[in-house]
Amino acid sequence: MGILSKWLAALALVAMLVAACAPATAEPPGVAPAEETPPEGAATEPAAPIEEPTAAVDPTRSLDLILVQHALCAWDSFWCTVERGITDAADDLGVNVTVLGPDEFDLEQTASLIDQAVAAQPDGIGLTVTDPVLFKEPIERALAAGIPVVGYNAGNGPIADGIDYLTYIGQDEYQGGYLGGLRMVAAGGTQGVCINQQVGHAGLDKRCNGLVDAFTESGLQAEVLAISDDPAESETIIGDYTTANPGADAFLTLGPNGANPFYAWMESAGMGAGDVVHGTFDLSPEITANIESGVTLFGIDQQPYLQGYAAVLMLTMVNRYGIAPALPVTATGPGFVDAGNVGAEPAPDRAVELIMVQHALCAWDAFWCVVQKGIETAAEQLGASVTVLGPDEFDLEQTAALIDQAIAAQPDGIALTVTDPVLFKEPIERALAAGIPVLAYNAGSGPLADGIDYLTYLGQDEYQGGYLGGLRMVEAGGSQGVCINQQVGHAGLDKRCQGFTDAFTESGLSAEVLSISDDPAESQTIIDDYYTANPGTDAFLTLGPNGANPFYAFLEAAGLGPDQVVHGTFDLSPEIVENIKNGTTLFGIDQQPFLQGYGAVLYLTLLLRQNIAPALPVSATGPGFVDLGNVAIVEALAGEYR
Amino acid sequence: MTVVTSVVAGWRLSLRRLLLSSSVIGPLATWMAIFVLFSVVASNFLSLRTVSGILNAATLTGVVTIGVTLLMISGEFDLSVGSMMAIGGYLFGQQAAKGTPLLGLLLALLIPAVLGALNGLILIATRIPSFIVTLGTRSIYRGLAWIISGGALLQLTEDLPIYEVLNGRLEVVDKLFEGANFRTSVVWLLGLLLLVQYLLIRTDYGNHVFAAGGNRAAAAAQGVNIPRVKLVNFIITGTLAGFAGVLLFSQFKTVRVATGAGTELSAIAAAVVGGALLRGGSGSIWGALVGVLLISTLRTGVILLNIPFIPADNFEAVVGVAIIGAVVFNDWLRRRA
Repeated sequence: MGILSKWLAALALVAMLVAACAPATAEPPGVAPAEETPPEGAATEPAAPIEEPTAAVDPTRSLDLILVQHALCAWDSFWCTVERGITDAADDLGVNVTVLGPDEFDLEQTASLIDQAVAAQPDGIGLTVTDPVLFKEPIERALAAGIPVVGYNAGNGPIADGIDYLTYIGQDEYQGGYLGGLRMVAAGGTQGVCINQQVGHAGLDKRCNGLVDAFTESGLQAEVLAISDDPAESETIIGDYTTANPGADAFLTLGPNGANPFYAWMESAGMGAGDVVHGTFDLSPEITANIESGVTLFGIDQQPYLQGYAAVLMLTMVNRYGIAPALPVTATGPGFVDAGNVGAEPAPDRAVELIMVQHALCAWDAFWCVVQKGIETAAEQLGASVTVLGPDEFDLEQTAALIDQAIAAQPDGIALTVTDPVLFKEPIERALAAGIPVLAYNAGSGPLADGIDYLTYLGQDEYQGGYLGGLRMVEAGGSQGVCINQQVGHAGLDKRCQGFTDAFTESGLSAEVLSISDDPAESQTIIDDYYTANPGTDAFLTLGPNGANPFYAFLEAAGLGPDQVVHGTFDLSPEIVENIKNGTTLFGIDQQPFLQGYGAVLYLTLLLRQNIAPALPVSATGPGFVDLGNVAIVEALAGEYR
Repeated sequence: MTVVTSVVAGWRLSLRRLLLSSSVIGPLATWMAIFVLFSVVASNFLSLRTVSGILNAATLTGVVTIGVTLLMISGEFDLSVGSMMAIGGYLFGQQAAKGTPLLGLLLALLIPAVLGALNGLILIATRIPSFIVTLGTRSIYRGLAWIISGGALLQLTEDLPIYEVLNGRLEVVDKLFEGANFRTSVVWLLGLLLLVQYLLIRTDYGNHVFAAGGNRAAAAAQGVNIPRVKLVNFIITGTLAGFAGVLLFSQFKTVRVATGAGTELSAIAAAVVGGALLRGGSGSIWGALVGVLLISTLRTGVILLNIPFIPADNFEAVVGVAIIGAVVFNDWLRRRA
């Protein structure tokens, strides 16, 4: 026992030594938060020593933006809502916005206004891509002049329009039909009908596809019924259809032109509220009245206010923080108007008190300082009061208890990280039962996947990250791709690879997945062997620093440079930032944590003041691409905004 | 004539003795067979690039496997090696960031050595099987890595001369041969291997290690202090795991909390493929090295073969089949001998 006690004494000594060392050594330069798996929100931010801040980087500077649209509030009242969104955003963000539009609907004149906007050399241009063919050249002149461009209200997104603008801000038609269909199923619909007044119209067909998919995925049936422009004829068609299909009990109309004959049919068939489930796109006085009387479950609004607001917001984010919109289409709709919010008037001056509950804090995890900055910036710009709650160390039980604490304070809204959907489900449902709107940020999978009825989840869209990254690599000359996955079987990582391989396959090229291990030396050899066996491989996607690190070792040992291979990666680390700067790496994909904090506050405030609800179950803050174009601003703002 | 016959007979005898006494022959034969097979069927297998790749992939696991094998021969397991590897990586990297890499190297060897001692002491004090003890400390040490690191990935971009010594490119060799990519870690691995092999074969201590894992009553009767032997083996294993963390950091300048996860099982697999018995008393350091190389060679070979129905992301399955196959073959050889 003598030896034993001596050893124990020595151990105690060393333990003290370790304890004494640990705090001092916890934060050496070049430390970035660990990234194990993406959904946990532990994304890596470059904490690389800030070298020389670029002169242009000023996250508070004023901006001059020009918006060009094919119609104006002056002669089309629809646009007054859009312009109200524009003005409010300009006020909130402290930027100057000029709105240009023709005196009457005139696409040629609108196109020439784009050129006029370019000539004024603004910091950003937002425009309606009403005619992608006619507007293509003016937009490309703006891009060539280095002016960031977003589309709003009219357009199909950069990929579909074949113009390289940042994003299209408007309604996601498919999701409108899909989410509407899910609501109709939840309301008791068992057999669906999509009443389409213009079969063959791409946007309307997408709505119907969404509805049919929602019913099919729920194990039910739905089909499309074509009606005509003649309301009397349409009423008869609907009547004949229901006679032939007496089981049909859920009807989706695609606008006032379908809803009008539908109501006529209901009246003539002697039906009223509760007999069938009806949902529709768009709002009209007739539709609003039927929502109020309970005949119609919902009307789907594209939320024009948000289109104007988001156009200004995104151009501001790009300029000030180098934060780009995550997806080619940024959905402002479907916004559901139902018995709960029909007829609600905006209350722009309403005081807003929010509580954020998150599983980590800036105080002990540097990643969260960026989220915190987003929260604070939004709170200041919107005049909202926000309290952030979090545990002293990673502790899910304590975090769940903080949600209950937040509910007890009766705030106007709660935003939280759904780090553990099972554990957090009950507290979140208590908040919802208390009538408090809830949304999720940074950690979660969205209300549908989590099985909790919160508004939306603000975080990275993993599949789109892989897909859009893949398209970029193809554009950069990649012809044969490999997705280097350090943890095959991890749902989030697998989605990234799936998106990447889909992008290559759709481009008529091939790509596959290579599994590497936790041992970087082993991984380097695996990549080298794969390259030897598949020497045609020229496009490599890594899924984080754990994959990028052995990949760089492979490049060095194999003597390969950017001329021979295209490399893209998820996340940022000091090493990845270095390699973006020296041209080895085409891009690093960032989940844009600033936007997660900012967006959570913004969405809740817009909901409370403007009755604007997030359109989709997942509101993508990433992929945010960091490349040669914005790596300087990202590095200069690292740890604060990026 | 008689002289020749007796020499041949002598050779035969020593060969037979080698087969009987050494567990290297089985894995060595398997490895050579696999190597020759891949050289024939995979056109781009037989190159210096591939061979150096196989070696590089084997170094980190190899260094850990030396300790694990030594422990297994004395009848014990250590599942906490992966966690100690991460701790070693952090201790070295944090000091390197401060410009004191030598202190880092010292800490990265010393602290895991103490943690290894703790494994041994718990085993001796509680008599709980080491499999369970180290299953526990595996988590505890991972938690310690978390505390030391603050949960953060440590990545440096600056190059230090010490990295070149510990795990830089072996320029002398690489310049001589086109396509070769040998690293200094291979030299370290070889050196450690010779050192531990010498300890095991040429010293009393080596005999004690075999005795401790074999017939305990007999060992105790011979005056072997079994607890002390095991304690020292745990300390050696911890030190080597810490050193593996240092080697890792020296090449990749990166360490994260999960570094080394899974290494404990790779090391046991290599030791077993290399002829070590799970119940102790038998095994060889050389065999274990061959075990690591065998697994590494298989992985490389399977990827290079580019078999359509075994995509590159499925080679682990092949390695798994091979582990079982190699052990079955070893067993068969041992029974024949």
